[in-house]
Amino acid sequence: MAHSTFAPAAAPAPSASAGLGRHIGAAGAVLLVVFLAAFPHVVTSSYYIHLLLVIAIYAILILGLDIVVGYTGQVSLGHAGLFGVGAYAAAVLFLHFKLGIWWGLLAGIGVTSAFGLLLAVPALRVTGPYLAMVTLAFGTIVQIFINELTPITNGPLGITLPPARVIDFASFGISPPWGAAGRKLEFYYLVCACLLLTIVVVNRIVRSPFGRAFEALRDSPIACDCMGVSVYRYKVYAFVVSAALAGLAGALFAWSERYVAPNSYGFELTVLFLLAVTMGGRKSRAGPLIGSAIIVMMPNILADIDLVRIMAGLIAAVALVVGIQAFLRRRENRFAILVPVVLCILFLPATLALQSVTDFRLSVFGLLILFVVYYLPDGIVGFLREKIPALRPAHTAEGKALSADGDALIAQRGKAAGTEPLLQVEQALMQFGGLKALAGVDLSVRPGTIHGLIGPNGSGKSTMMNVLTGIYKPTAGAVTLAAAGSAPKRLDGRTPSEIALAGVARTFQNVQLFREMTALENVLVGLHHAFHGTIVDAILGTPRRRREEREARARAMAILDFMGLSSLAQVEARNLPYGKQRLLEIGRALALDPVLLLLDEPAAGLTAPDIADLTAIIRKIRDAGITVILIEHHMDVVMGLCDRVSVLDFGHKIAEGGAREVQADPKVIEAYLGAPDDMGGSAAPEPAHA
Amino acid sequence: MLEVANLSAGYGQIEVLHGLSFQVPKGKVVTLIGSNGAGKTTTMRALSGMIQPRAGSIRLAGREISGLDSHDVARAGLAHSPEGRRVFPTLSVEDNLTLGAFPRLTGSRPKGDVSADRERAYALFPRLKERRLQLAGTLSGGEQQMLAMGRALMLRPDILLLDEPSMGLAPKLVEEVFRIIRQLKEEQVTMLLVEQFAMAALGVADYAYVLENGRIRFQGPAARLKSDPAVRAAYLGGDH
Amino acid sequence: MTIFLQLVASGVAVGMIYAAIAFGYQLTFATSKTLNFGQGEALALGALFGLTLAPFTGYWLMIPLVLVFGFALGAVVERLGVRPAVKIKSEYGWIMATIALGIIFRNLAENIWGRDDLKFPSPLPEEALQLGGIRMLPMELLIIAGALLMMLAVEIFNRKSIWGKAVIATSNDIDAAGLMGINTKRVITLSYSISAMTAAFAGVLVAPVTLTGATMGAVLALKAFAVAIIGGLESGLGVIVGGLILGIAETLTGFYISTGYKDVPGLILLLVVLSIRPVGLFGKAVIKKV
Repeated sequence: MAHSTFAPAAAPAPSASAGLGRHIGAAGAVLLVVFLAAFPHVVTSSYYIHLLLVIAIYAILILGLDIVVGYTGQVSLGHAGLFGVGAYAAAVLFLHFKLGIWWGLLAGIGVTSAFGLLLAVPALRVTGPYLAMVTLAFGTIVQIFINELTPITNGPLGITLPPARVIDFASFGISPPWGAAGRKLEFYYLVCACLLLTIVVVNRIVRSPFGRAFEALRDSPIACDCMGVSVYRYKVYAFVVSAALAGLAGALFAWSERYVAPNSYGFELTVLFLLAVTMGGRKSRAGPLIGSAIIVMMPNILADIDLVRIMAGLIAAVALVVGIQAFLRRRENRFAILVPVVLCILFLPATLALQSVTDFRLSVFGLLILFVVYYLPDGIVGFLREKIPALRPAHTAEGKALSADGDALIAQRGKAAGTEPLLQVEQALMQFGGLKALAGVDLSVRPGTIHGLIGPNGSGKSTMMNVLTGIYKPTAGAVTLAAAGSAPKRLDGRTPSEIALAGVARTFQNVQLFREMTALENVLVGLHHAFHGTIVDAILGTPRRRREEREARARAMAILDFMGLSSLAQVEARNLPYGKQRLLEIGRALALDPVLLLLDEPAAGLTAPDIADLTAIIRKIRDAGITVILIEHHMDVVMGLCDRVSVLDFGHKIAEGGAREVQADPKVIEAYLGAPDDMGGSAAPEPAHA
Repeated sequence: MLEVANLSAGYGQIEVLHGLSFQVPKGKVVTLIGSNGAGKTTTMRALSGMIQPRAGSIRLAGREISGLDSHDVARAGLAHSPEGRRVFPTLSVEDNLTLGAFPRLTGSRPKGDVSADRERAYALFPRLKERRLQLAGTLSGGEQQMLAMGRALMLRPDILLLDEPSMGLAPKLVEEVFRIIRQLKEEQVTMLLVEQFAMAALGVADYAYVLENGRIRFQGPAARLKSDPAVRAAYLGGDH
Repeated sequence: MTIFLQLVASGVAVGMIYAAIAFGYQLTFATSKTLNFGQGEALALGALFGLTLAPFTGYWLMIPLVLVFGFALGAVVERLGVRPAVKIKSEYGWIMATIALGIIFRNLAENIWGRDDLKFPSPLPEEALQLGGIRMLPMELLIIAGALLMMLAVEIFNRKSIWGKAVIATSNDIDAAGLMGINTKRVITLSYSISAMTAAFAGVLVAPVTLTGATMGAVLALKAFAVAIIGGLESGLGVIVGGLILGIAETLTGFYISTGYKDVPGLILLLVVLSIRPVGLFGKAVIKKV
């Protein structure tokens, strides 16, 4: 979704081409409906209708797989297993209870949702290659059980189903209004309806707070937790929705093939699904449709050897031209270019030598995967979006409210005065093995102040930050937050998500934005707490859901305005200049409506003008009544901003006071510069090293 | 021995070093000092090829080494004892030392007598000799620092880069580390020293550069800077 | 009781095969934090290659040739499937690329050696030996000895040779290894080569007691991953323990429940261990840094 460097200074209103993107989406939808409706009347061959059915059914599954792969960024090799579970759920219901297709669809969705829940459990603990292996193991287990549970599944023999009866006119006591040919199409239209419904549902979910949470947990799970968005919960949602769609597709597949057998749902199918989602293009609706069409049609194309030879010739010619161009242009990496070009060219003699390439079907798929991984990582849709700006998604599509209603929408907490500390840390101890990163630190932060936390490398500042926000659970000690107007709350031992919702927001030393999301969407993730709608609201697009979205967008724009970022609202975070990324991270934290804001080295890597902007904004935040804790190495920033400064060294607090006072403290000078002469200085604290 | 001109480097979108120029003459000890985040460690990493510089030149004994991968920089004769020591925890002390001589043992640097050099390292750091068969991961912080320095010396380097050798060490051990640096200086080892503890570093170095926000703020003979209040200001802010 | 001991003894042989493959996973994961999802295909190709060679060279002389073959295969996988993906920092990339290479290898094997399972002639007598009331095939003893020897040989290489030490150094700290003048990219290729070599060797060890075919490695490799997880992916000979646990669990399941379910305990173990203790039974928890 490269919104890239495109119009960084565009007005906050949706730009012309973004609007165009929206229309292209709508036009695509209309075309799809017309195509699906007209197809069986134009092409009457039942072979091609069946082919289209399979494409549509696979597309339903792949749309669901995209939620897991594209949006939450997890690898699942278990979707063929889920597909099989759905198919068998439908088939077994018929085998034992003679229940028809509608029951089958319900069971398919229900049973696989439960399996999705099961699969989500390891997914909460592991990611990447581990999750790939776990899901692969899941798929293998499913296959074994289908094979072995003969009394239920009929074992290796499989289950045969009669033609699906979609509308049972007899039970209404009327005769079918259309003839035999029309009755055959009932199932076709049912699949089409399911596909269209799937597209609508997926579309609505991914544009809702749920979809944003999926993307956020992909880009930065830690930031996600610190925005009060529970990574656990949303991973479960993603897996269940994805599994439900796999189940729906499975049940439809069972009734479409009218035969289920254990070996149809193996490893190869799961890899094909992944190929489809990657090749078509992640995070889009068109991608899975294209990908599905490719994987279904490819065996048919490969069966026609003449067609294959022509295509191989074309590929070889293109590879030769591209290869020569690249070879002449880039001198340094000739080997990297040579391998794929030679492979592409060798493909032609290979097809000429072989009588049939059908046996090499899997090799072709394997080569396609390699090609997609290395040369088309964003898939066909991603490639087109890159080349044609008009095809890029209009991020603002829903609840277009993009204007800020003034600063009033920033939480104005007034002068949070008072002498009672807002945050009280008592004897915080954090031990890693033998190392005491914090050796019993007291800290007391007064409301409405900017409190600096400084110290040399390894002094325990970042550890303190992680203890305050729940990323580390302190070995001992207490952290208490006493926000005005509410009872004091213990924070130690709570999860990052709970602490965030209690009013403590943070930024990160190494920027942790949701990189593939726009600036506006980043802030909207911070506003997650303002959404109360359920997933049903999201799917149905209820008035409540639309109102919440509208209000949140207005708030988000107000925050971006406050940070001076409103003109960059539609730019993906990864494409923002570094200084703006820092500011956006603060803006996202403000969306939590915090009473306390923790800034972890916000000036690191910034240029002088950016630092000036930053200090101005931190002051503005304090003036809005939000208390700030600032960890920073730029001493001028610390000295210029902080009302009070605490100095850490070796996990101990060695000084505290006003900025000037601390600056002149001999203990601080020694911690930073070392003792002037006598190296074994007596004032140095006992190191916390074991 | 080492000449750096207009070196710029950074991570991702962030540029940390904005055109540094400095020299380390043969047989001398030069120190880079400055507060956290000034770019000292980044400079070291750029010199040894752990990150690729964006601009500028790095010449070691007249040979351009910028743009080389870190293993090729090591083969060219630059040894880097990194920040945080980074010893190989599951290998013995002896194996750690041996690996310091990897280019010599695999033919990309003159071999010489590796085991004699190992004995020299043990002579320099007697505590390592006691623990020669122990796994490096079980050593104390100070011992690991000595191992990291000994390991770097095993290359027979043309220049030795020491990054924060005193970090996280108790004062007594800091003293010990600096005693060894002084001894190496007497043996005419060319060194570039990065140090948080400016006073100690200035005490041992011949010449110093003070870094601030990725630029060289000022420079001069170490003895002179030691009494210069501007050094303090570079660390703790205030007027220069 | 004799039956039980008998099952345990057979389980040990199976378990050693898992241990050898899992050991291969550890090698590449330690140096590069990646692993070959086509490890099962390396095993199958090793066995099939050995099957073709054996009539000409005999079983014993065939083994070194298979080792060379596996070594080369591992290098190919690393260069084509892993290095380019690691370069673009794509985890999804190397997972998919090694899967794709696995599929291609499997498909090529099917086209060369056919789709039917083949019988691998046993180099040792096929009558069982009586060892204190327990019957064991000589081939099973060879599997146990061979797998242990292979792991031992690799361990000795790692501990004693300078390149082996470079492998360990790269596993410990890849940046620091680079500073020592170690070409860590070559070390990673080396670890893939050794990894595929152990898999190919496991293939010719196991082939005489099972059937040989292009798909023989798939489930073995998956269960070996379970073993690697139980033993800890980072390092250590925990894989031997893990292999024994799984091998024995499997023969017991096969006997007392049904042979159809014999793959299930390994897979369930994989699911359960990763759901509860992802670092394995012998691994250490890591502190995440922000």
